[in-house]
Amino acid sequence: MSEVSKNSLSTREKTRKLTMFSMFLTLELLLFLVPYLGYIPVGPINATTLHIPVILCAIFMGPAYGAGLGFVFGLSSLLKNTFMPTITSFVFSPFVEIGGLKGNGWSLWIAIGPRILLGVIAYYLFVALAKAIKKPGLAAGLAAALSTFIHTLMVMGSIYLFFGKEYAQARQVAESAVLGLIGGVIAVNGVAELIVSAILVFVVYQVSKGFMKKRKTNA
Amino acid sequence: MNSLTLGNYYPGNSLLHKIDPRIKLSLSLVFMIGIFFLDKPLSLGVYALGILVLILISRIDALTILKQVRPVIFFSIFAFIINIFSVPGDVLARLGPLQITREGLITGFLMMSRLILLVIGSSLLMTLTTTSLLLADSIESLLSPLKVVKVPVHDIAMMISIALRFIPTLADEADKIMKAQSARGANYDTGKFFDRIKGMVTILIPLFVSAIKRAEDLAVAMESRCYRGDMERTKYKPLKLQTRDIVFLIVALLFMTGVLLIQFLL
Repeated sequence: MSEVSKNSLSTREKTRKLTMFSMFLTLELLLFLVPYLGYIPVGPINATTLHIPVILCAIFMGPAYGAGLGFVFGLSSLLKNTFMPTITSFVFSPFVEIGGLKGNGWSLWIAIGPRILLGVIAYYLFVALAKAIKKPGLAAGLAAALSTFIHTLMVMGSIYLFFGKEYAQARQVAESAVLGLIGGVIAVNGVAELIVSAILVFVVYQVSKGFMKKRKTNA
Repeated sequence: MNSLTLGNYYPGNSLLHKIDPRIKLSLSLVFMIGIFFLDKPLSLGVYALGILVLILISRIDALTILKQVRPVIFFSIFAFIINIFSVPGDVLARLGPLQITREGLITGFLMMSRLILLVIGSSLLMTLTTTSLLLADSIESLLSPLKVVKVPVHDIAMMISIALRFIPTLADEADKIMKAQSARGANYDTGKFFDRIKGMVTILIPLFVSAIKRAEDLAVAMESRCYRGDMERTKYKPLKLQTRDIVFLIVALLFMTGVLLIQFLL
């Protein structure tokens, strides 16, 4: 293969990755900007769909891209909680102070850290599962469900660790009841998010793999 | 769906429109970070005056400015009310078990005005007076020192431009999908929790698949126009700093320093 065509091949691959990531970025921002696409109202905390582009991006493009989009997810959560705060926003934004409850550096971690890890974990789970069960579509769906659940655990676990007392105060429950409250959020929101992401990632993976392969052979 | 206000550029020919976008972008960052330090009425008042001057320079009508605030108005009122009742201090009035305190009133009001000023300031400097294309250009230019440590600055700027360009397109698409699914009997607004999830899935799957298809099409389109990253790429209108940009930058920085001095010294 001559030097020129080798070059153009890698440029082609680079351009494809660029547009693909851009579209995942667009989806992420769209879900963030259009409330009825990004949030399913369940009680005081909304179950979100914002993690789904991150998982898809990780599965299609690898852990680095997944982490990148995860970072965008984290930033959007930080922005939302800073500019449109609710009673529990201080756990996600160090800039918010509501009723004497203030966020701090750990809020920054809760908003961004688990989201970046989500992108990384989703990819490695997908690779491991695809190897184990030999059905990539199913593996994608399972990896989505698992990584979503791990993500919820990380977020709610960090809230318990770093803001247990304040969180109880904001939601007006006794401090001893906060574990039950957080468990409840994991059970309701976590499970809702898990179901949605498993279905979506499974179907989108199956459908897209088909035409992505076709285009590659055409090219 | 068309009211999706993102990059709602307000065409104009004012000084604020003409200032180099890189200056505006960095200044709005400075102003954004600066406002978080302000919690005294005097310093915030001076800051508000500065924003007022910017509005006058930009020659944008008041209605357009007010529209920028709309998305945060509900939440800032909400935060205001929470603060009135929850901050301890001199009691001004009682409403059953709740009490309104002087301190609460002040904290609430300051927090609300901070939020509103922040939104007006950043939309004046960025989205209202700068096209999204220029904004992406200036991000690329401002981040270009990072090229030394191999950060793909051009790619990041390109991704941001593509995302800004396609958000309205995909929003329209989501709208179409929703209408199409409604015509087939899908129900989004009512029903039990699992019905809502089902409704959600019927929109999101076609939306995601079509976005991935678009990404492939876009790659082919860019490739056929010989896109090769930033290799030997030239610009139609390269950004160039002029004297008025520098003057504007210095005046704005002096103003911000002044406000911070008022905050911390007076």
